[in-house]
Amino acid sequence: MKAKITITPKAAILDPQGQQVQQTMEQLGYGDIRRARVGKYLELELGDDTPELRNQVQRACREFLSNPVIEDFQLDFE
Amino acid sequence: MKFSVLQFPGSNSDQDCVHAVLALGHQAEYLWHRQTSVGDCEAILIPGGFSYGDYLRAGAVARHSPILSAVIEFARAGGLVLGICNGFQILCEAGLLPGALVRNRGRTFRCEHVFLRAENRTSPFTCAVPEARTLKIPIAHGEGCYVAEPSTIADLERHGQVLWRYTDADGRVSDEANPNGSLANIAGIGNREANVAGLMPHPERACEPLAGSDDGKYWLESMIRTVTASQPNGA
Amino acid sequence: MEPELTDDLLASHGLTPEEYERIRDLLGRSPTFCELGIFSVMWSEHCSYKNTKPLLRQFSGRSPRVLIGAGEENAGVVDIGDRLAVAFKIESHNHPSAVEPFQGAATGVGGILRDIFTMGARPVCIANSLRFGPLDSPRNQRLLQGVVAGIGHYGNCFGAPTVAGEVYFDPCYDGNPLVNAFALGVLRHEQIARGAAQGVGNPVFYVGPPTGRDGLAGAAFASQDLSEESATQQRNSVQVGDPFMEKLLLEACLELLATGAVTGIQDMGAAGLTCSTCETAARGKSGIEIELDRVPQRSPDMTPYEILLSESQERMLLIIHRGREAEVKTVFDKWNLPWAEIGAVTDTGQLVVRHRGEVVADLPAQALADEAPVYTRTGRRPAELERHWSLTLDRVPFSEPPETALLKLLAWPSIASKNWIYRQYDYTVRNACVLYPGSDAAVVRIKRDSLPEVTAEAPASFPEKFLGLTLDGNARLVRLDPYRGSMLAVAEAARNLACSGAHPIGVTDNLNFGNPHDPEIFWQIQESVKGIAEACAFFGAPVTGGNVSLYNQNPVGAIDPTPVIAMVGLIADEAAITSQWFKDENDAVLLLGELSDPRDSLQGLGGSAYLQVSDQLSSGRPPPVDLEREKRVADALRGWIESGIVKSAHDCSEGGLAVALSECCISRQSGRNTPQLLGTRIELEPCEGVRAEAMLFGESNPRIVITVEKRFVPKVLGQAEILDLPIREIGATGGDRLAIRYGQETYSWDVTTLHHTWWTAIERQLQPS
Repeated sequence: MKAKITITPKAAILDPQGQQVQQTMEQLGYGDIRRARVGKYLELELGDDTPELRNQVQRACREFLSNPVIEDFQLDFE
Repeated sequence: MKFSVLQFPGSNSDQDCVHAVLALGHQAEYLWHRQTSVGDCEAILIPGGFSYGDYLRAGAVARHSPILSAVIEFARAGGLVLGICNGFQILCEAGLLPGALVRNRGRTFRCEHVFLRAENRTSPFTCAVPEARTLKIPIAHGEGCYVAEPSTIADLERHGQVLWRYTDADGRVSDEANPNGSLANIAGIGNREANVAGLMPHPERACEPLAGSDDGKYWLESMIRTVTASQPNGA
Repeated sequence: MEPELTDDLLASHGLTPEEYERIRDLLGRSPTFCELGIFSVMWSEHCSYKNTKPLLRQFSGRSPRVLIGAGEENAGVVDIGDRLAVAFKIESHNHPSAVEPFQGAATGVGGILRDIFTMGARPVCIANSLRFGPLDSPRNQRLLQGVVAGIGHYGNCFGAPTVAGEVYFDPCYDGNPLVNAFALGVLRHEQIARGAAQGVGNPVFYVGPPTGRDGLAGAAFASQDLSEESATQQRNSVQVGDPFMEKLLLEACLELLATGAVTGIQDMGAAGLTCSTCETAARGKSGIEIELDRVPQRSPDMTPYEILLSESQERMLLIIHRGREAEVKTVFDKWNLPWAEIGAVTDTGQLVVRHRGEVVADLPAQALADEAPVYTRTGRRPAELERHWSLTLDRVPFSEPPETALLKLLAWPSIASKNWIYRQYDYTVRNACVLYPGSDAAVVRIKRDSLPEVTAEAPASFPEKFLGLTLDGNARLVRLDPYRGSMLAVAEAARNLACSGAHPIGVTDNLNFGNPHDPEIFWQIQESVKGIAEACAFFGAPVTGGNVSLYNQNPVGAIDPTPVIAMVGLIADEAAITSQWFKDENDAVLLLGELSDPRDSLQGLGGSAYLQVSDQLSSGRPPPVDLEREKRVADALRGWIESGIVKSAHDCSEGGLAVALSECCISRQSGRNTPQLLGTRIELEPCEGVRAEAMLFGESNPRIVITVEKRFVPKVLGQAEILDLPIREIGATGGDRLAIRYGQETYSWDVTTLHHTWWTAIERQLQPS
């Protein structure tokens, strides 16, 4: 099983990287770019799919891989 | 008085902390990240650097290290803990201090001498600061923008937990004087119990006139004063 | 499978058919594909200096202070007293930075740091010399931003302060930026480590992260012209730096060296495993056998060719005393670093490489390391020099009057404040830097924790020491007169050190030139090396090593010849540390040196920044250089500094006296957004036939602006007369304007305007509003 995790800065948090991407894209003429958020993406290769493993990964996302003060995460298994 | 300075793989201001403590005539020893006890030290400094490479998030891995459990225990028992730069990030990650530190507003790493105002001169980290004095201390960080929920900031302000703010040379708080975009110009904070504090600037690199400023000694002197005052035989 | 050795294959390895024949003669057979790869990197210019070796012999390493001289080891080592020494070196990472500025620059810093701690020294500071094309091009802006971010990333994370540097912008560097990185470390004499494989049967260890396909054959890449094709090829194998890993490697290596278990240590830099095994065996006059299967690898299917030539970063080769292998394991496990025993020292003189039971290379180590072909090329003086040297002042339009010329010069990126750059470098870490970036030279202190041991208990057994450090190299002057221009670079470095109170103790140089097959470029190299060698010998500053980077050209042409001089000096004591900026109101301003050089028909304007900025003229013969006078001026200045009467000292270089005076007024900074500006009123006596532009912006030398308390003026003037040195009191500090009266005219500027123009120029160019 694989876990795919996307971590993004919370909507209310200043995201200077995102701002820069948005500004630069606009300057370069890539059209109507209204907002960019820069986050990170993690891919975990896991053992067999069990509810317990899913729970553990969920917990890791909350407690270690993201910082709930500043980040949101989205976790998908496949 | 004896300070302990934590050493993580990737710490790079550990020696600066020891140098500053020794320069003031006190003792310092290192605590390796795999140790599980803080020994007999009387205060702990968590130094700057890039603990474990800071690849996931600054301080995220260090908070799970064996030594940090011991530090948390030490802090719960009322011991003084000061986190500087990466040490501040670690304390926030560990939940010993509220909020978080994110990428500087200007996106790039900033190294320069900034001016600070000690906001609450009763804490164990600020009690030796002379009144109405602007402190000149270097910063050197890429992720030093302090953020927290508005309610958290309000709480910090209400309880006198904002210990240092970025100001201009005359002690005025302004957006111009804010080097990294920190909310409310916050450079450093303490916990509610006032025994744990963290800040982004580096007082340990400003403890001798030769270094361009010796205002950093007030941090250590405040801690020394607090610890010696609490000892039964006084000092 | 062995590919056929065709001429094309040879060419792609940068080997000529003649060189191939020489290889066959040496081996008595045809090389294997793997062996061909090894020869191609070991015999590249980068590793063998095959085009410059005879020239480099002119450098004198002679000085009683030199403990390890040029070419002996990874870096030179110089005595600084009290059984302490410094190891320092500069190295280029030009081509990788052109391809991927962030990683190219970062790995350049990583490489030079490893050269220093391979010597057993703890790195205490780093510095850099950079060249870019003009900032009006977005491409050059990105290169600058990437390179600066990369240097900062590596140095800041590693924890060595970046304390000094120099940066120029010129169209000749379009598409071929220069990134030269310098590092300096400190150690006790008895801690010097050697890169020799000695003791038959001693095990050879590989330590550091696994080998991947990074930067395959980077040394060969650095030894050819930069083309779109070579860049694309290189882009597929960009080296990625990991400063965190390097920091661990540093601490682990120093800890292991302290145990005495190590007999030889060598970093894996250019040409990785190949170069490190060959060089250690050649230095030890021994042989080495290694098994590639034991080398930690990042991907499962790497060929022996790839493993041998990979330039994966942060790796070291260690030769350990037999029986003490367990200590390697203990230390490297503590730091959580991979290690592997990959072979042993032999007495055969051969480098033998095995892979899956087969010998894939069996080569004479000494021949590989030391017997690369040496070419003595012939140089030809460039025809354009006649034209440049015949420039006369009556043909200069002087388009820019002094009032605006000064503002233009201060805003010119090569002269403007570099704070946008150095504020991205941590120069405060290690509590080492005591004169921050922004003065003539940086000053770094050596204290107990600068040394490899880190125990807090060790008693301070030596007084703190202070080193001055400067990097200099005005390529425009070198192009217009390679011999004179190169001497001027050395003279300026020595002058910068003197202004900071330092006595020169050693030099490391980085020679950045175009393709040496071009006779005019070869002539530039010849003349430049001669000039550097003579000037360094004159100042008693031995050249203890350096780097040669050739083939710095893009399809349009070669870069200006760019020798970079990094000079290290020792300061007598803390009180002698001197900065360039004015300190107090009402101090006397003195000019040490002549107002104008009567021998120079261009009045100091040949090759000057003024001609460039005012009239877009990069022409004229650079001002004459007088080493004898340079030395006497520097000695006198240091004497006054050491007697405690000099408050500030700043030399005149690009932009001449007016720019130097401006910098004295505006470069002091007490903290963020807090410049400490101080004006001055200057009166210059009329000089027959010397026009104002030449007086203000001419670059004749040596000239140094100093301030002293007024009461010391008679003493200084009297002593200068005895020493037969030209000196004059030209004004006093005070007020908020820089005012210069020359003859009937007074030119005057508000110091706040000067500061703003100079301080924000680079940032303004990067962020067009």
